[in-house]
Amino acid sequence: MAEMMFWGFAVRFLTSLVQASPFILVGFAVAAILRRFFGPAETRRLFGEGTRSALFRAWVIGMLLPVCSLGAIPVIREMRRAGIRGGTILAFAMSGPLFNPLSLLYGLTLSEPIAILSFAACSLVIVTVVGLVWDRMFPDSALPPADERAVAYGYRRMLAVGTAGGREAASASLLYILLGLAGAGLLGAIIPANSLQHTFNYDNPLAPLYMTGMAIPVYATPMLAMSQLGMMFQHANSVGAAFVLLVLGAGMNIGIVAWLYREYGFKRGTTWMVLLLSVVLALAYGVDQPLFPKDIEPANHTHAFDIYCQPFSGTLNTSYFEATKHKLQRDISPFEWRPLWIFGLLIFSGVVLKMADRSSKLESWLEAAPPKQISGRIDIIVPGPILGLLSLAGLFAISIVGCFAYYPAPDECLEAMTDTRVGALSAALAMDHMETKYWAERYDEWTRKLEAGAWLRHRELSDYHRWKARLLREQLEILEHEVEDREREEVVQLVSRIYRTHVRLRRAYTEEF
Amino acid sequence: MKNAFNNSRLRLLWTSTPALCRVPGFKYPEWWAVILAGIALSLCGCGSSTESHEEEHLEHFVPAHKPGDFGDLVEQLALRVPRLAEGSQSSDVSDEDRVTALLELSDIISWIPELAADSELLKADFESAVATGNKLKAAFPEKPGHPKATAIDVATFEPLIDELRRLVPKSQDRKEQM
Repeated sequence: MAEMMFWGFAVRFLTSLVQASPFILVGFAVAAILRRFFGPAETRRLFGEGTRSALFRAWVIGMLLPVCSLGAIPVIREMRRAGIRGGTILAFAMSGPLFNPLSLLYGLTLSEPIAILSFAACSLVIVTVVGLVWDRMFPDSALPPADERAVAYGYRRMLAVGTAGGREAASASLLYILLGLAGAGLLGAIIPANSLQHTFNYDNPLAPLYMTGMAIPVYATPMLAMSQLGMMFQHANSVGAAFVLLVLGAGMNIGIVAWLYREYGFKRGTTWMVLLLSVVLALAYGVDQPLFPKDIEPANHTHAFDIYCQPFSGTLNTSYFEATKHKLQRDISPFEWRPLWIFGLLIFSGVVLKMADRSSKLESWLEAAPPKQISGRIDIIVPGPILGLLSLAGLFAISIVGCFAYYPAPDECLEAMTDTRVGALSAALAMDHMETKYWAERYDEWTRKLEAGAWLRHRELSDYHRWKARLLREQLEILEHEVEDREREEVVQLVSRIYRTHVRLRRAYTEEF
Repeated sequence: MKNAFNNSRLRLLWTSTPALCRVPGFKYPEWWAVILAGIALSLCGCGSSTESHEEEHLEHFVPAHKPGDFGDLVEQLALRVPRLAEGSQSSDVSDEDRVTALLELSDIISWIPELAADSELLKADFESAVATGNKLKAAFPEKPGHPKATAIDVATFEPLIDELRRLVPKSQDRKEQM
């Protein structure tokens, strides 16, 4: 049992770390940009510190930047250094990880896109209400701004951003990030495999409450949270629980909670948590019925939370080490490891800097003003905040461009779906449940990419096209259950039905736009 | 009671959590204990044990009156509408049966988009089927679950069902059409 728990922890910790790496890198980049391009005074101005729009600005900036709840940690630490009030910081921490352009597009392929837009509006209500009340209760929550010298223009300014990112990666931010990942690992160690499949059914009035208990240690990237919402809507599970999952599962982690208590103390931290949980729960119960999907037959289960449970169950034919290796190789694509190596390199450079330059001589040299070297009328000095704004806008633009790469054109999606279709249907005919599940999940994911990719390129997606993709997903789900129940006759019928559905889907997306 | 403890997640936590937390010389801060307690409480409250889960069956409920395909759906409509109209004038049919029949008919109408999509109908015909379905919905009693719901008007329904019937050949699989 202890061995299974250890490897369960390892699988969930590592998987979450790999998924989080690109978002964590963005978080460190944003923190470094705020420190070196903006500086404390301009950072406060950017977030509207001291104005009525501060909470709204934090929400908007959070929505636009592609960070997750772990990537938000270096940013909120930087905001605190800049002397921003707690309500604004926490508003950013909560809203940043909920949505980004990629996940929003994915969300719009769900059966009820209005639910996703409502969730986004509810998140604004949460950060506004909690932030306003908390700031009113504790008006002196801001630290005095850090005394930071500006770095002059030129290569030194660019280098200063790099060194700030490296030093931050080897600071307490890393510990909070590891703590957040440990929360996800802990769930993978102690929750028995598949044991959450019935907890969040639509007819369980306590589903949002249970989700509140589970969602804080959960770590979900915006995309993962959105795909889980997709599964919950497909099974017509509790909408309230889905909302809590998005707000707390994607928006919070144990690392953020630990930071909150360390920075603001027990009383303020607990007040914020109580306020947050009360508003989230009230909204969750408020949206539970109105947003319930009307045209879906409710299922008595969901698979959305299998990934938070122990990854192994029963007796294995091989060692846990081998099983873990195999699982990681299958679940993580080779290109997904690259951001992790870059993250490792950033930490390494930060550690080297800290050890080799304890008195920050490098920063002193960077901050030393260079002689003016303006050579002509068009050779102008771009102020740091302008560069900072351009960098943040660039990150947003990259995430928009990334949408086109992540959601390819329908032709490419359909081509990629051939492998997953062959994999899922042959595994089903061989009555191999694990393989069927593996390929069916990928097949399902491609149907969503197909919808989002088609919408991106045609700016519309008819009900006809939505239905074609939805029918395929529903049939795949039933296929997986029939294989699990070893119903050979039904499996054979379903395989031929899925084949027909696929042919119709292909026709719809290639010939009927 | 003892058996319940043996099968429960409490036992799992009892046997596994201390082993996880046994780190010599480490003093746990208060908040860490609070978080652990929160996780433990939430886990005791939700889910089911592995053993009991294995006995449960993951189900996708398919109602008995759900038609098999688009053709079957149109056939069901053509059969049920006159029967309901007759039933509303007859005293032999109980209120309960009439309400059940109305609710089932309402379900069948709501399945038009799904079954039209799950057929060979092309986009224009699919949209025509959905539009006809919407007209059927509009012609339906407002509260079909109510015993005093107004009777359905066959004269309004029949031309709409005919419109759907015209789409049936196009909805069939290619080889069925031949």
